[in-house]
Amino acid sequence: MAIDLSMPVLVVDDYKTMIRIIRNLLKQLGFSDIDDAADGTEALAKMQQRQYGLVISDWNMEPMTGYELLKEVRSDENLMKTPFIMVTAESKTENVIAAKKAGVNNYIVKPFNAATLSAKINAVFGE
Amino acid sequence: MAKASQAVPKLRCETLGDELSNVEKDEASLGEVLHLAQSSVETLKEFLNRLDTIVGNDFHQIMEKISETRDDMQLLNTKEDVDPLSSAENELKLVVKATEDATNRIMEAAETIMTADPQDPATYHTTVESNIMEIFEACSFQDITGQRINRVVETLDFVDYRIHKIANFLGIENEKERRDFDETAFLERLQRKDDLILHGPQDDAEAVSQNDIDNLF
Repeated sequence: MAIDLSMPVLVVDDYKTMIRIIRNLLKQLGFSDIDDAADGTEALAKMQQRQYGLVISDWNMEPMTGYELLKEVRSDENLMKTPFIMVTAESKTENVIAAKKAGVNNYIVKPFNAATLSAKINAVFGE
Repeated sequence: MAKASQAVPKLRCETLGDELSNVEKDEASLGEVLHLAQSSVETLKEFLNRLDTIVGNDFHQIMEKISETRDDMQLLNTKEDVDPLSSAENELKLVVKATEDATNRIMEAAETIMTADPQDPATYHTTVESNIMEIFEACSFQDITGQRINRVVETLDFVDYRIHKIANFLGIENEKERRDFDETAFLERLQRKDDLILHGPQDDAEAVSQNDIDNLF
């Protein structure tokens, strides 16, 4: 599957600084349509309004965590195929396994760099 | 301490007082004096025994409160063998280190840009671009340090609450200084963290590496 750099990407994080960092890294990678949400609830509402080509989400957020968002997305037949990358400071094995079981496409531990983000996006889209 | 003490039953001293007032001062016999002395000794012994029990109970209850606080504080910690205050101290050390590392990375990237040679536009462009990316990446420390500091604040908040609770039990709390703390909400938050596997950032030794994660995928 080739990466369509014009596809809308949703970045979900409760830290505005992190959203800004990921936005800038995505722009650097060539993505042009980047949207954001401050938690899982806002992200889910946005996803029900618009078809995103990729979701990049933090785990630890209130009121809905990234893990809960992932489970919601995977249980919704309209959203279940949306590629989902978790970018989080939750770096325990049980977190990674739980996210994988819930259907995450890839998992990045913070702090990360542009090369890692690029490699994981490529891996998700089979490049 | 009044709250911790038990209600004191009547002592023999009340009857001793009656006995004393019934004795004529000028006509007291040696037997009466001996009887009064014996009553006084028994009353004093009884009083001291009860005092001993009351003080013992108070200390026992204080020990229970301290022990209860220590047990509750373990709820804050995901590592069973580390006490939460040591853990908070460690979090703060990691915050200092992350801040220092990020500052150094940002300064090094800025210095590289400053010293880049603009005479070679292609190389200059690449150098500036890659170092700007380096600055963006370094700024991500704020997310992780923010989560670590939140954990420290949560620990201190809980310790503060439990100290007030013990102070209240001992009857020495100043109500005006008491901050609001919703214990039920706090315990619900802990339960939620447990249910949703929210551990927050880990030490390097505890964390799974990106390579290990990649192998899982």
